[in-house]
Amino acid sequence: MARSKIVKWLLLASLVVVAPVSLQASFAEADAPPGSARQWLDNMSRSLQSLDYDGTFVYYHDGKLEAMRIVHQASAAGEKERLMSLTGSAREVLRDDKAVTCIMPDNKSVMVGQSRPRQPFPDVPEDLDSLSPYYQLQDVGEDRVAGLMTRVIDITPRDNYRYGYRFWIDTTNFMLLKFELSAVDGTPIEQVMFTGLRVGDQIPAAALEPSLTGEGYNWFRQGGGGGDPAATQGQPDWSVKQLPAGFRMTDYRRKRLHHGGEQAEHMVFSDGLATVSVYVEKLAANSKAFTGLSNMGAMNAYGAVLDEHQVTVVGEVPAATVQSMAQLVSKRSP
Amino acid sequence: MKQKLHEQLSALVDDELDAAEQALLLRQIGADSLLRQRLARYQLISDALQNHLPPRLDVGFHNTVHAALQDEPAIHVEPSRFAGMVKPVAGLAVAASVAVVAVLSLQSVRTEAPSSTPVVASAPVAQDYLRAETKAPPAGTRQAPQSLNAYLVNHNEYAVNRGMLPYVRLVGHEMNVDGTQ
Repeated sequence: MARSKIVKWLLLASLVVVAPVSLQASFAEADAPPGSARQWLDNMSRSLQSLDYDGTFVYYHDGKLEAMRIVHQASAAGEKERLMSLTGSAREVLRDDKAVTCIMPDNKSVMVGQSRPRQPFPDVPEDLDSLSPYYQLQDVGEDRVAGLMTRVIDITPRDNYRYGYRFWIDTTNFMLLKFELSAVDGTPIEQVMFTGLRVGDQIPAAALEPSLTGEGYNWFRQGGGGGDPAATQGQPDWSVKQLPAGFRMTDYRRKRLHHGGEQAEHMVFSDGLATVSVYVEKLAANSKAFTGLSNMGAMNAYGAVLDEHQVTVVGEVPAATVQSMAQLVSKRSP
Repeated sequence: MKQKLHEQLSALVDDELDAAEQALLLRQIGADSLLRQRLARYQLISDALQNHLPPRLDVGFHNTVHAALQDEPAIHVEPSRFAGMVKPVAGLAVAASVAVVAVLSLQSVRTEAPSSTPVVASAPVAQDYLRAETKAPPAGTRQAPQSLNAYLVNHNEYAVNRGMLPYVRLVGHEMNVDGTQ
């Protein structure tokens, strides 16, 4: 294929990509123009949470491409979000300040979990220095995405325990227009890119309603009807003997995650950006244990069985990180 | 070789191949499910980029192509008959050229830093923690089993705020949700 043809493609693309993206700046009251990579991330985090938007994007992972739509509404009553697949099965996730509802037509099931207030980005804003041994934050300049000017912020890991991130942030309203997650060597693992996005338009109530009622589906509710309690007092019964550098326990709870199941012990570890959950749950008599590695895009999970307990480590970190942590879980001495 | 094949795929949906090239490529598509999937992806990206996605989208059209091809005596068919069959396929693609560019850009974004490329400092932390290489998912990695979904949903709520991004994985993977072990 002639090189001139590729050039023609590029020209065509630059024209076509611009067209569908209709953005209306609605962040006039934003803070002073940000000057640091850190401020760009803070502003992005705030925009994702506080703006009304309705957009279509593509999600690329494992050589596959999916198209999705997201609708987000922020009001005095709180946030409401709806994420839905435009390809394949009509999977949907709805989220508000109280619950996360996942509708999965694949096997006619609905799962309802409890939502929590969003954590700021990064998680330890007042303590940037604590991140620097593990990540390099860098403003790498401007780039155009879908015809719009963006600021590109890189977060590069300094070791193999965590992933790298690159954000393309709209320079007018701080919306995230493109996102890439990569291995430490720069190999992309996941990419998200908006192909159409409206910001600031009024979101009709119907746009936040699920397209499926869930009638006739199997419903699973986490927490057994109880609220997500405050962090559990005391020490967990289990521990991770050695953590990857920079990680510390940021939360600890006991909760029931599976209908009719035992309470699980949930420990949350974070390095300020990446978060890893360790769940330890008594294995039910007739249940099948989950062992070994599993993944969903960049989200890795490792399961092991220890003293008749299911140990599950889940996180947006490399597989070896969850595996190592799982293998270092042990019961605390009484 | 692969690259050339992919470019031909793009040319196919652009309706820019001559009859003989179309005939050859269609035979290859008919025999190669990966090529059919790639064809579908090109189309999907194109539609997404142009905001032409319907509320619900059937991405199985490549299977329709496959079925049509199976009905055709491919080896002995005259080029003109292939050309006639290609038209509907091409009609589905608004501009495969755009799709190809999107694929290229998605796969190469890492190399196109708009300005200076950050240099990763050598890790100042102990390296003896990890027991395996982390570059790629290790062999044996499999898709999450059903029982994991409850953990994944719960875990997402503890991640730092990047909006709904963590849930993109749940929606973007053909998965089951099951609260039972």
